[in-house]
Amino acid sequence: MKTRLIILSAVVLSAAALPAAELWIGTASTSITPDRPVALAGQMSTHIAKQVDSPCTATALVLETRQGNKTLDQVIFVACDLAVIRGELEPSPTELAKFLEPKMQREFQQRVKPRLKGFDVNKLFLTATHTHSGPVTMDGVYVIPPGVMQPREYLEFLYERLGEIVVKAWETRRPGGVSWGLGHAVVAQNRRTVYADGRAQMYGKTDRPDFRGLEGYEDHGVETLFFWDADRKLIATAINVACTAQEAGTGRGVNADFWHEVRVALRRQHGDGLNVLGWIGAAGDQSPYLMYRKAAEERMRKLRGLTRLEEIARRIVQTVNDVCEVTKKEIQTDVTLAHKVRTIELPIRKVTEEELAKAKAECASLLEQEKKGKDTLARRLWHEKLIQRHEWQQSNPVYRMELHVIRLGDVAIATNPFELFTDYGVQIKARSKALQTFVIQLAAGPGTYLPTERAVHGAGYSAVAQSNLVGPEGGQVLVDRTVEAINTMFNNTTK
Amino acid sequence: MNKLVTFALLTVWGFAQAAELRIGTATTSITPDQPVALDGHRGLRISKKVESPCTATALALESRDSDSAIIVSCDIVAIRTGIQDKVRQKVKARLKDFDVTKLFLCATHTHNAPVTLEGRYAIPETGVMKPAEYAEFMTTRVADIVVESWQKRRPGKVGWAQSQAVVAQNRRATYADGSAKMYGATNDPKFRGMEGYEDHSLDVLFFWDDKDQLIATAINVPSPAQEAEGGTLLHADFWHPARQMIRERHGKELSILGLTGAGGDQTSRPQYGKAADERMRKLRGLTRLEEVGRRIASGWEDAYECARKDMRSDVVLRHCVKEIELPRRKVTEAEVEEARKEAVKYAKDPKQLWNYRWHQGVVERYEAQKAGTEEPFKMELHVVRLGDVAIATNPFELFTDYGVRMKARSPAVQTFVIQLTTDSGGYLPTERAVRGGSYSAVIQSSRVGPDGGQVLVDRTVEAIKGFWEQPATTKRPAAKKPRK
Repeated sequence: MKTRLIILSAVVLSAAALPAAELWIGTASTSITPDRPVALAGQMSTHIAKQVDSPCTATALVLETRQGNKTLDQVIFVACDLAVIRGELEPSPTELAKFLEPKMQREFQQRVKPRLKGFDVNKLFLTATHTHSGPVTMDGVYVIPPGVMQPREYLEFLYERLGEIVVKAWETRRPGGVSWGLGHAVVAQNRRTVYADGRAQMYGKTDRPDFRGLEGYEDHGVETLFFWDADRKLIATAINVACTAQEAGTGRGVNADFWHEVRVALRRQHGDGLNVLGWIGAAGDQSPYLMYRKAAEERMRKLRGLTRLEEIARRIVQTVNDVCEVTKKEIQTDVTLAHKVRTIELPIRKVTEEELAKAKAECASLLEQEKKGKDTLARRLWHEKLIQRHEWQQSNPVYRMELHVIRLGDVAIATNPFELFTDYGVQIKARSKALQTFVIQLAAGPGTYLPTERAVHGAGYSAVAQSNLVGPEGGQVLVDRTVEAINTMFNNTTK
Repeated sequence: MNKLVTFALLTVWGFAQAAELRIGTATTSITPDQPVALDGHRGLRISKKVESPCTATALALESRDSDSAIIVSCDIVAIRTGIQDKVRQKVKARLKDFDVTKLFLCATHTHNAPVTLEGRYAIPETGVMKPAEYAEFMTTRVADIVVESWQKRRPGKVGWAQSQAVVAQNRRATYADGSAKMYGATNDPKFRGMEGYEDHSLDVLFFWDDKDQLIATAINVPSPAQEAEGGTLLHADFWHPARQMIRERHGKELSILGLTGAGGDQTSRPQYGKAADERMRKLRGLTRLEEVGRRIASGWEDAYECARKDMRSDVVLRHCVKEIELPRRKVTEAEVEEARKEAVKYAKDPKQLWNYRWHQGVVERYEAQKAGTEEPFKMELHVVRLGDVAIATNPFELFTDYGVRMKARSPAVQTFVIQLTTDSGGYLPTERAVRGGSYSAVIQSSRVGPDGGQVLVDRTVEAIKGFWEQPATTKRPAAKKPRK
């Protein structure tokens, strides 16, 4: 009996000691800043950058789990200092078509496919930090003069650079470890002000007597993953901040916004080789732009002798370092990695007849202004897209989006292509069975704003029909499908 | 020679003029030495043990042109009606050179401190200190530190800074049907989001003596101190570890005033993401109270690092005290009908005294409203200008949006909003909260509603603006590296 127990114990112990799924990690980073003047994305009129304030970069992270020689699952993340993952080499028939399919991601996946032997390119996805001072990737939105890099030229350059880092990360993957933790940084500010008459306005004034509050919540959680090589050296970190990187934006220079300062500060402490992936959480109604308390914030910033971008980075880096230190006692080398990719259908936000009529009138008015030489193309296309939608919606009741859900140890990572209002991210986090849930917006596709019901009620840019393809009804379906996908991966977990 | 004497005299006079702000501070324990009933819950709780001392801290400020303020922060659930008056009465005879109307008390809202008002709970006749008895003890202790702080006031310097600490969590969950619930489940498929905003700012005042030794600090956190509410332990909630952590680095004698900002719909307890928060706490080896204290202490250090670069001795101090009137929230027919039914249900059970009073109060309000004898809600408003800082008080558990409105419209560089000050006005919910219903926003919870809340904001902002017609500083000492 005693001998049996000893044998049984030995078997159990040795089984537990075996790596259930050995984690392999590869990572690489590159500049995606062109060496020619380029038009900047995210603006309502054309801005040509003739200088580089800080380089826009892209960072690839490869994760693979293996049991012996068998690959269990894999993923490649590519975080880019771009406004959106939107654009294509082949011209789109309409403005609306640019928003309906993840063409940029598909084109890149096909380009890189032959160079990634053993990897399913469907498990690769691109994410954007939403810098408003990165190169334009969509054709036809701005009037870009000759001598300036055109969007399709830029896309060719981008695909080339992204291909290099993805292949490098894939080919240099090695066994390593991962740790994770939750910190906090007050970076995001809810950017929608509400007034006494119930109306809301993005970046509306808060010092007005009829100001009644900020429309929604702010998510100040910072979810972080840390990746370690076999010698326990930190080689990469993925930082999920629920705030778009759009603090900078003079319109004069290429600028990676606060992620540049974050990278500089982290590399100063952890080495130049550290790769940093900036992942933007659900933040359609958030930005780093100060909505009140500006004088105090400015005074503090000056007393510290920092720029505003450095101040934001200081907050993020402070918590990332703190969490890194606290959690590094729990570095794991044998973790579960599961990656689901699926297309889900969301009911679209239907354009009403009234909205259609207003958009038509706006288009006509803007066209007149263009004839007089005014640069209103981006604004006009914004309305035109709505007019095209009205016709499209007759036969297309749903919007199809690519959803990636990943389990990495106790962590869930879920993507969406939208500028997703914060409440949806909070719902996903609150209902997820994972210990920590990373929500990455502006991922794997060309989404638009996805507002909440209260935002639609308040209207204003980001919540009007022009700003959306999907509304609150679709937002709820997105939450429900995402939570379902996450929770099936964490079936036996009680949070 | 005469010229030299004149120059020397002028120089001395100049220095005297530069040392304009006089500061005094004192702290005392307001922890009883016998069991007490604990305030803040519906049910009666009798304390069995003191886990951390409840304290009160007084800060006396006086400027060269004789304006003044004494602020007293107390580890108590609320400044119940009559408590502040008792302290003023006890102080009046002892401080001939101080206008007692310029004294105000504020509460940190710990739910584990003694009851100060009779008639709220059916408290056993023996073995437990009575509320009136405790109120006498507490007001005497507070009066003593008020006198001590005023008498100890000396020339000193002040600094201010703003930092951040993720402490407050919005505690009202909303659901698909439009309803809201305080502490409602967030993992429910019908959950749609947190109802309102969270204010994670940390506004801090620092006070140094004439040797640049830090002697006091006032920390404005928009979250009530009710992390560990419930149970039978008497404690000061997160303010105790926060004070300990700050004092560990800056000296045992440092006076710390915990000032609770507008946080009627906020608390420090996480409403989602709890597992991750718990894991981090355990990895740090902290209790939950210590974790909240750590965040406050860390934000405080951040603020201190900046404030000590800008210490000022010659600052404007202005303090206005006024009574303002706010419209009362009207009780509807449906609300009174429901309240009547509930009051009857609880009327005969002494254990349900709290619930009975909660509902019966609505019935009485309705009757006064119908008889036309209802008066506006009168509240004492204190607005203080100290340099570039405005301090504004209210007696409510004021929903965060009102604090944000005041801060956004205030011309001050920093605006400290202190709730639960001078009296106990109940919750003051926003319009969206009233729509969502639930405890804290229903008629039973609030005597003043959204329209009264807006009047409070408007009157407060007006009073602050009235102080911003003159420069904050006439002279600033040359920057030098201060002592830590």
